[in-house]
Amino acid sequence: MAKVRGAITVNEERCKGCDLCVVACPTDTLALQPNEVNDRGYHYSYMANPENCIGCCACAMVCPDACIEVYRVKVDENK
Amino acid sequence: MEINEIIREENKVYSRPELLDEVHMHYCPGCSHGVVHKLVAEVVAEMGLTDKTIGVSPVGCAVFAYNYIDVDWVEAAHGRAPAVATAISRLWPENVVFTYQGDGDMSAIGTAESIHAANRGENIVMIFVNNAIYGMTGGQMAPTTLVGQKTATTPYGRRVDLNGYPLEITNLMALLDGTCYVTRQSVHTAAAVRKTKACLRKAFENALAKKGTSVVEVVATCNSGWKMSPAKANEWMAENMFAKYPLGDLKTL
Amino acid sequence: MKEEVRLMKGNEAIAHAAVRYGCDGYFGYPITPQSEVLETLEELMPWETTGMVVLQAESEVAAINMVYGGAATGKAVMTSSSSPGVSLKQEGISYIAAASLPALILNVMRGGPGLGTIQPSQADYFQAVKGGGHGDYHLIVLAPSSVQEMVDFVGLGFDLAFKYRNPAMILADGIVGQMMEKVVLPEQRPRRTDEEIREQCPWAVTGRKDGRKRNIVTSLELESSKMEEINEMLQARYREIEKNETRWEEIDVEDAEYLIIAFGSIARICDKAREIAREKGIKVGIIRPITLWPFPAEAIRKAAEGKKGILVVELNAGQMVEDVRLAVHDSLPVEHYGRMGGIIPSPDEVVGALEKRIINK
Repeated sequence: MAKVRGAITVNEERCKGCDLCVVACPTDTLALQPNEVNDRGYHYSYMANPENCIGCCACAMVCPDACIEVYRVKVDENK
Repeated sequence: MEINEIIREENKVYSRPELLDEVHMHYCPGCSHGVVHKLVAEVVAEMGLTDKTIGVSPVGCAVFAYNYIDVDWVEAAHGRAPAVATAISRLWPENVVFTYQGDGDMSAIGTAESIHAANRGENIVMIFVNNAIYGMTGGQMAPTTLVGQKTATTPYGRRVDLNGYPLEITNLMALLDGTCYVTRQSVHTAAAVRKTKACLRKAFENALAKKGTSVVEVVATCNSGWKMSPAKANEWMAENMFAKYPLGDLKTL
Repeated sequence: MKEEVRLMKGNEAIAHAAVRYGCDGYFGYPITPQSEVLETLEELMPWETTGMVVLQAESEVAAINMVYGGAATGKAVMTSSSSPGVSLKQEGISYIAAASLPALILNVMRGGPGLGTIQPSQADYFQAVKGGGHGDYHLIVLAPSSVQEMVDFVGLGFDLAFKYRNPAMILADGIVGQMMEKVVLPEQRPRRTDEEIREQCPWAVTGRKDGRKRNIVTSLELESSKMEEINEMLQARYREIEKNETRWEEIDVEDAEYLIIAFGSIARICDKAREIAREKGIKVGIIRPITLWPFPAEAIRKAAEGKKGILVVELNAGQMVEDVRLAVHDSLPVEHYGRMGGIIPSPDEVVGALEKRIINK
């Protein structure tokens, strides 16, 4: 059975840490950096649980600053 | 499977729109304007309209929209975007003209220009971002502010006896013979974003087909003005704004 | 259409001149005493012939912002109104000037302040030449004294507006707007094609074809140093216009002992007064500023040398007289004679004023 795996990249400098992607993510993949901040002082978003990502794009769609790009692959588990 | 095996160009399913400039937008974190900008950039590029689209930006938070979306722009005086767009559209009928207006622009100072442009059926797209507050000037009451809503000029909540009622200008637009398409959407969830994008596309198609005025209202948040976190603002919007400004098509021809 | 001699009102002549110039768009709102401009255009239906857009807007405010939008695309666009309507337009005029856009605005002045009267006046001189709207800017202000000049200044106004990328105003009074005179209408010029506009106005918002960088028409700049630069650029342009485009008319100035200075239709009454005065042995010369901004200050200063006094005649309480006084620096007596409320002085009245206020003072 084919399973979908996804991953995202975040433009860390452009991210304003608004948290909307974290809320929008249905698989609890994302979180805001608890300690790290970018040059503007924002706790930027990152994949805290990357193995959860299904590449659904919800985070990217709601991102007001277009920081997120999404990648998706089908993985055949029988292989 | 390793992450770096997934993050490859051939696996990319969502990119930053090409028409969005590689700049830092001045909007507050979580502001809905950014999402709407992104959708406009996507729709214009996907429809192949980059070389014939002219935007008219308002006075309000979106005053600098021209710094973010890579098409030709005119910055209008407060409320006058529909008048500016009228002339551009009439003088360059092969081009596609859209206005981008906030609630102050559309439903307060520019009510006359907005209503009359729509009533003349100008072949323009009017994008109306309604967050029920004046963000740029520091969170004062808008005509669309809800009854009881606290703003800098209604510090104890909007009172009908003092400030009148929230203005549903989009409903008025739907009554006009000049409008061909009037819809009210939001961008607070991925599903809502998809839907709004489809509506914007339809509006631009109407302009190309010279069907008249299309109005796309986006019920939006102003988390700074509302003094909430972006996530909380989305919840508040869904609970309170949608009751007064229900989502959906108001008119489709 | 060939060159043609016609009898018509000044307002009608403006409409014909606009079409024949190859104007791309007119946006206006009816107000007395200039409604014939829009009415005549609607009657001419130029959208059927030259392709000119004519639109009755919902307000003067909308109309001037349509002009702003049209001008931003490099098209030759205009509006017309009368005093209270021109007050409404001031915000838009300031934006047009600030954004370096060419446009033509006609003000057929009526008496004010407030709703005032529909009768002729020249009381918007200050508004036209000193700014009118907010910020440091100037309009190129042309003052026609005949129906023929109404026609000629449409072309001149557009030409100057495009040459300097600055709005021009025809400041007419209700007399020139309403009176009928013989007029020579120029030959029809073709409107510029979209390709010509793209070429001639590379700054214009026309859709960013062929991969060119996007054009933005705005008057907003929050960075102080850049905003100052923009202002300095505008001021440099104004100095250039002052140097090149100052226009005036002189009649019998050389041997005159006294000068009468007047603009617009009143200058013609003053010219009759000059004749009457000369018959009485009073040597009077006339200076008629044609551009009110740039003001012919240097010409007036030179002409005033050796004269005994200047009478400035206006249909207002004394506006241009201030610029005349600035021009001559107290070197000779400068007095004002004005009528208001729509009353037009007779030539005899002007001679009487000259005798009373200057000669026998």
